[in-house]
Amino acid sequence: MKKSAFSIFLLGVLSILIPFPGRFAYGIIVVLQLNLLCFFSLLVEFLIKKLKNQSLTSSMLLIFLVVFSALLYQIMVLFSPIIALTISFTYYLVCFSSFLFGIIFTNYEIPFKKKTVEILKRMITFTLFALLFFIFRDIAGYGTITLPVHDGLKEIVLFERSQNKTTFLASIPAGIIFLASITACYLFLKHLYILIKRSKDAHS
Amino acid sequence: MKIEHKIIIRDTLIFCGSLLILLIIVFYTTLFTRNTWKAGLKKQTQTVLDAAQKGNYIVGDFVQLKLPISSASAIYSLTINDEFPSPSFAIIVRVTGFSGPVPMVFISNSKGTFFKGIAGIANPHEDIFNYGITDSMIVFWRKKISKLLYLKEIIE
Repeated sequence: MKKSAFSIFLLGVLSILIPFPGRFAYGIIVVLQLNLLCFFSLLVEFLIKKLKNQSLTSSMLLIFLVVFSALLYQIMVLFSPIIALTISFTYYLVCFSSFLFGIIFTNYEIPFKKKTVEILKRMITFTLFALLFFIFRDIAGYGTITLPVHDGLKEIVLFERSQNKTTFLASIPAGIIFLASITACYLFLKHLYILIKRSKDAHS
Repeated sequence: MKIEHKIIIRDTLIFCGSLLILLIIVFYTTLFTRNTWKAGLKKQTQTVLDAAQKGNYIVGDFVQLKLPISSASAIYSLTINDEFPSPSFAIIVRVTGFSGPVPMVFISNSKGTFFKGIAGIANPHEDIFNYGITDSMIVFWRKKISKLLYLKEIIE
């Protein structure tokens, strides 16, 4: 993948985290949904492979993803109606995200086991990154760690924040700035790594 | 009929069958969760109004709307124990601010629409600015709610 295409892909992947409020509770919900959708998709793909009708794989996977998302949303309503109202249609953005499409709708030809291991690795990386991203915004913005409960958000107060001064850190513009900075740093470090490796190779 | 054709028909039938079953499950789950949705949001609305003035507001029945906004809001009839005119409504609506979506509670009657607090958090009267909501957004929603609620044809 070319460098520019990679950075666009990376930002596309990460942008599913932006529309959600900057609280850890919502991070848990996004990550849970993404992992469950991945698990269901793998299950469906496995069943399709068993049926030996691979020409339908993409269309079947897409339909099943939407249906599973709708089911998960209803479970969310049962768990906490107020969180379901807050998230609303944003919940369905995840099932159409480039991240999910990038890992599910590819590599049909490679062995299923190998693909599962590959997806698991990516999911673990993404889960850790997403949780860190949300917990940082929650702590920096509100001085709390929030957990999803039936009545909304349960706040664990870590420190009393000064009035209105830090909440910008939990906002959408700040989220975009963080993601862009993280992507830029990652690409720069990768560039440095390549340069160092090249110079080492030239000396040896 | 060739064996390949039979396999294709069989697979398609299995796919359509499983899809139909899933869609039926989603349909019935949606019906099943509808009451939980109404009751849960009613409780949240009551909590916010109690925090504003305990015992003054009694949230009543769910009011069905014929508008697309009904998926991002819930409206209830409201009894107010003071001089406010009847009918009054309590509205919980998803408002998108600079920090993402926030569920907000309003009350409305012929005197106007008033903002009462944020639902789903420990302190409903926390400064709205902390959640990326500005005064102009509140004014926008007050006007919008007043306009929508008093169009008689939208209430079933």
